Amino acid sequence: MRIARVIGSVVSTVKTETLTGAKLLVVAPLGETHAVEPYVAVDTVGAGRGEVVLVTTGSAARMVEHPSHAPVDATIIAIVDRLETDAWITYIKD
Amino acid sequence: MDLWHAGALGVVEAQGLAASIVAVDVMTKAADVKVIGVRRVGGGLVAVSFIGDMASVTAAIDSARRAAAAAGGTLTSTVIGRPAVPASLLRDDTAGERPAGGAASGARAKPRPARGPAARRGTPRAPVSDAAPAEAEPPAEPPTDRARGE
Repeated sequence: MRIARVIGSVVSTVKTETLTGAKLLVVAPLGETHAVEPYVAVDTVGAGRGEVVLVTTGSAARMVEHPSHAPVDATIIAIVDRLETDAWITYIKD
Repeated sequence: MDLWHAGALGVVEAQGLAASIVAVDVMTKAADVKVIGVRRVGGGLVAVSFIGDMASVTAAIDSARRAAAAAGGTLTSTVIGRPAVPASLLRDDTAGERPAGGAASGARAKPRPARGPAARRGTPRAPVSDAAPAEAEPPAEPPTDRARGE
């Protein structure tokens, strides 16, 4: 799982059938040592713009809610309320 | 005002206010749409209307439909491009409870229940004094006449 921030949404009306109704959000990974491009993740928890979320990638991303053959490689699976590393609270959701 | 210049109008009907609120949440997070009206249709149905460009409205409804299905409910929806629909049709103009025989509000100037102590402090306008005759208002209160005159 990776920590990322939701920075936008993707609207697509013409897409493969298994993605119908999927909510597509653009997320930017947080705390990466090297720059990582923002990418698109399917949202399953109702995240909104600006929120810090957990994103799971790879085959695990397909194990949430979608049909198993849906072409999904990143899924938002949690909304982060509080983040603590090395006893430092690095993020608290307002 | 009509909505001709909005790209598209979407209307989503769900059973119950809670389901409608969930739908609005999903839709506004999934796409760039703006809610412009909520209307209680009756029988527990709540219709939410919103505008945005055609793709956003369509995608928003798709997302709401999927979320509703996951929650075990259903949605009725429609999308209209270049809507020639007056905005007043989409909004509930009464904010509070409506009386059972809703059409009987013609003659009197909108009886509203007095709201708390501030409403009866004798402010110059005080139209509420007309609304609560049963609450033993002093009979010689000048605002009563003024409210009737307006």
